[in-house]
Amino acid sequence: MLSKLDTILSEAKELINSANDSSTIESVEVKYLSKKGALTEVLKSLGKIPGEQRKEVGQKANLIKKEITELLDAKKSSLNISSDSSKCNFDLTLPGKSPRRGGIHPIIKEMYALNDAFHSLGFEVYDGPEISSESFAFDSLNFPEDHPARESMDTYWLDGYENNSGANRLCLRPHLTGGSVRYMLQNKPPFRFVYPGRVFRNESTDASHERAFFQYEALIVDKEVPFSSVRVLVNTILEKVFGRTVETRMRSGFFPFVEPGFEIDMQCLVCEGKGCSVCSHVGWIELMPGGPPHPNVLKAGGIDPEIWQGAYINIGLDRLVMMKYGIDDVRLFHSTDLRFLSQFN
Amino acid sequence: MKLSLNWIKEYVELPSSITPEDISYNLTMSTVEVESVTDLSETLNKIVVGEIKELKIHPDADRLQIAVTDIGGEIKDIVCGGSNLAVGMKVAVSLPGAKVRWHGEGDLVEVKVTKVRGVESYGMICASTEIGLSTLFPLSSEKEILDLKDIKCSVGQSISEVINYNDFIFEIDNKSLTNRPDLWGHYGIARELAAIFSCPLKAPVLMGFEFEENSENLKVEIKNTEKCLRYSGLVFENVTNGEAPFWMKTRLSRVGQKPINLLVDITNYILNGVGQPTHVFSYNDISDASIIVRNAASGEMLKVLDGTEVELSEDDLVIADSKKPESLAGVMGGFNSGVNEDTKKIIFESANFAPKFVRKLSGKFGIRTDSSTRYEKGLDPYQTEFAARMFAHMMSELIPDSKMSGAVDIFPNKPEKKVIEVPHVFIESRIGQYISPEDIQSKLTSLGFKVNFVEGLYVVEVPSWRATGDISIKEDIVEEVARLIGYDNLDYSPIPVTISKSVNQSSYDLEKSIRTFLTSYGNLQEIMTYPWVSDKFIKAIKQNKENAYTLSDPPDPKNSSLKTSLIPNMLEAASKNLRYFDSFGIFEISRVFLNTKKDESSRNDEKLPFQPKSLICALVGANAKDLYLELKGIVTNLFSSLSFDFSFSTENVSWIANEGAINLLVNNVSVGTIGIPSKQTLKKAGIDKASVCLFELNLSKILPLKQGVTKYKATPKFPEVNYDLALLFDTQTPWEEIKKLVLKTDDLIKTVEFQDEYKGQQIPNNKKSIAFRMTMGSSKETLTSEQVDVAAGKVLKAVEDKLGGVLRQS
Repeated sequence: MLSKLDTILSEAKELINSANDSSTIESVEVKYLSKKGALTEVLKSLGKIPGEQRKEVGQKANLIKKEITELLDAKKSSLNISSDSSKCNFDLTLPGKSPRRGGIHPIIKEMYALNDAFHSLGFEVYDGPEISSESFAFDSLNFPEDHPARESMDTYWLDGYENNSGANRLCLRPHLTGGSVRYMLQNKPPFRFVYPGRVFRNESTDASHERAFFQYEALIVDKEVPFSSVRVLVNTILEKVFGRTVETRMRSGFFPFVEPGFEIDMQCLVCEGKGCSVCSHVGWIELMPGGPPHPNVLKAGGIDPEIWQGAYINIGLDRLVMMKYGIDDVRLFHSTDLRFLSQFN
Repeated sequence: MKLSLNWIKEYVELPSSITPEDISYNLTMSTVEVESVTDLSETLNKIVVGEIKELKIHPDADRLQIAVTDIGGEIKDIVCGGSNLAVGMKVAVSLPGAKVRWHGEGDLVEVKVTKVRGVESYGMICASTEIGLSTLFPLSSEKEILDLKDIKCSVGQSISEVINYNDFIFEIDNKSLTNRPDLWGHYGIARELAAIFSCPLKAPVLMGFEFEENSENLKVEIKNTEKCLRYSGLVFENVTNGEAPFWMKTRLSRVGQKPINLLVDITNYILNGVGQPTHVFSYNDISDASIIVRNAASGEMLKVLDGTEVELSEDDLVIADSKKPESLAGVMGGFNSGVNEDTKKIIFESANFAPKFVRKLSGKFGIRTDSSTRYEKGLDPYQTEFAARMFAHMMSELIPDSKMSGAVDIFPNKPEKKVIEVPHVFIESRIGQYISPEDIQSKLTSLGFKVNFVEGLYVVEVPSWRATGDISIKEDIVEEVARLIGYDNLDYSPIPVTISKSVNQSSYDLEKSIRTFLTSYGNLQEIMTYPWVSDKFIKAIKQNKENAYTLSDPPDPKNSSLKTSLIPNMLEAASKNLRYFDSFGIFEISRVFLNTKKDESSRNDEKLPFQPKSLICALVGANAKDLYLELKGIVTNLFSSLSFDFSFSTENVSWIANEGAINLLVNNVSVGTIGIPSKQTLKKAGIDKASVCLFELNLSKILPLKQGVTKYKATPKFPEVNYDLALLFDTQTPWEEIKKLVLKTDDLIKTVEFQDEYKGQQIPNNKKSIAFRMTMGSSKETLTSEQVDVAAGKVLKAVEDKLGGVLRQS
């Protein structure tokens, strides 16, 4: 038996020495060390060997096993075969398995980012009803009865209510501002809050017009809110959204619910103000209206305009998000198309 | 609205240093939005006067000729197909480099030296349509070349110089003019520029004369003084109506107004010049020389200028003579009483109508005119007289032989002067910076306000052209000052605000946590759908459409209902995305609109629909059971993470047709359902091949709840033991019952965890094998194997007695 072991060792040595690829090494490994390998067979048969001899054969067999293993390992490393990967029976270059990826809607995501910025400035977040009445959509906002703006804002009136008036004429809110009057009625000044939400207009749609879109409105009411401070608010928002300073300009504009009204433009980010097709070659993009609430609006909200002043700004959130990512069709936001929505996760 | 720089300069002395760009910028910043500035001469660049010296036959084309043309010092051959070509004719020649529109259609094309049917042509002899001059020179036939015969010009001169097109045109955004009726003409804009650039305003020349209440030649009566505020009428005799002088035609055409005949052109000149609509009647067509402004009689007919015949009702205001309506007040003149080349005697109308009614009248018949657009904004009633005097002056200049033989002015209710008192501090605190009283006074005065400053108070008299609604309160005065300073020139100042309360909005935070969880841990994508729902999907879930609110003018008749549930739109989104994906997970948070009760946000006098927020999640994929278990796992983890007291129950589930649905209970109240819509429902929703599992949650019930507080529990002091069992039960036995029973069998059993369910060949037909793991432990000691075995034995007995569960023989 001992001589058989010597033969095994010398044979194995020879085979290992002459081996020069991984498959040969593997076959040597199988031949001597596997479950049915020559050396394993010897070790298995130890039980049948008488007492004293058993110990000697056992020790020798284990020594030989160790030597062959070491020789194999040495040969493997000289052949640069990692012992682990040689056992790997799958393709390590396959792509990693990622679970289905979820994400918040790009507009809601932007809304949260803005809310966080405003929260840190001590603003509350208000959320009002989407079905409102003419009373809040127009009457409270200083739209004179029969003012052309009432017609130009093509409102979705509810069936069966469209011929009523005031509080009984229900509609999908055409803007957020009416909701700010609800807030005013429920809260005592001073206060400041933001009011993000979806608004609805009955108009035909194209890449830049949608029937449902997002606005982001902020209102401060306090003892003194000069026009000049509105600019600070505007810049806060833009820096948050774009992560850098954005040039803005403030000019005269007309909106019934503010007095006076501003129109705030931001420099076109595509051409940096040089003029391109995105900004109709003027270098500026109309961003938001703003201004102090008209005294009639404060009155509608139960606030004395002789004591309190305020400042509104109202941003088209869809447009900002479109600018941020270079989205060219506003309708994609309501498309429910995952090929679009999943791009922002 | 289009404005000509040259025309504006007629009314304001602008320093030559001010460029068209300066004007555009300053108007945009302080007054109205200028959409574009066009250099008109640029559009006619390299287009010159040419004289045809000789016409030669084209060798290869019957309809073309070779015009040998003098283009000013050079004689060139130009191939041309014009029907009116003649030797000696003066024509417009587009030289190489000029931009033209072939046959007046399509994009601008640059003219080059090219061969036309083998003959080289140096540029092109143009028709008026090809160089954008069809307003000034209307075509009488398609192949007609622009003939400059009646126009003073010399060969080689640039066309833009010949026709006074060395001008800039500003295009104003009409929307930004909505609240400024005074700006609907060149004079109004000139007044703004005079104030902005501090330079003198020049009024148009007016003729001085006395108006009468009644004249022999003209009787005017306003029967409806609410709708017609003023009527100024003039009578002219010995009129010759022909073509307007060329300077007037080109001026009108530059702002897009087509020249018609002298009298009509003068009214259009006044309209564009000072913004007052006027009209000229042929005197002989007005019976009894009487103008009556009255309500129409029901059923009266009137044919208006554009040929439309309208049937009138009592609401409509007309200008009538003693017999019949002659014009639609403020909107459009009548067809039969208009002027033409033979008109010798006229009545000139300059009137003021109430904006509200003009809008109604114009809307009712769908006739929008330059006149109605202006009246709708609320014009200054003092302007009628101004315009009449301007007309009288122009008549004396343009038709010197004409004679005014009547001037009547009826102005029943003169509006009171509007005076506003504004404290100086009010202006400063609103604007947010120091402004001197002198500065404020000069700014307001330059805009036509009369200002008296006494002891810190401005007493401001509003000019009549700003008093029709535009300026009425002291904030309006602040605006005038601020916009003339320029908002963009204001300082950046901090926002001085009071910190009065902490901002803690738990339901806002909760909604945000739910969104974050669903996206980050549930791996669901948020979608957004419209508030309206397609009938197809309402039908698919057999919802009762009668309970839904509907839109009176929906985007599509099939999309008129507003959401009462988020399921229909979710199924629609699922079916759309199945075109591109086999499996996905999406969710939506949105309001639904219910008629069950009044929404709490309603003001006392309102009854808004109940508008709670709802959440819906959908998993879409191949196997309904897998989807269900995953979704239930997401829901379980979500509510665990919120530390809510929640459970599931299969009792009292009422949901859309389903193949399995379970309620979610929070604080023992049902707040939502996880369910698998029936195959039929999915099929009707256009989902044939995939399975869908939905989770619908009444979010508004959850948001006001206080989140549970996480409390620390001690980790076990003594080792716990896991004990696995696999038992056979009737297939009907719910896991939840097995779990409850096992848990209460012995105090040592701390948790029971489901491991596996098996049905199949190895076990009888009506049975299932349930494998679960119990964790046993004690807070007092390390358990012995005997204690564990005793507890396990109790479980086996209890399960067999109560639920018929037996050990699986393997």
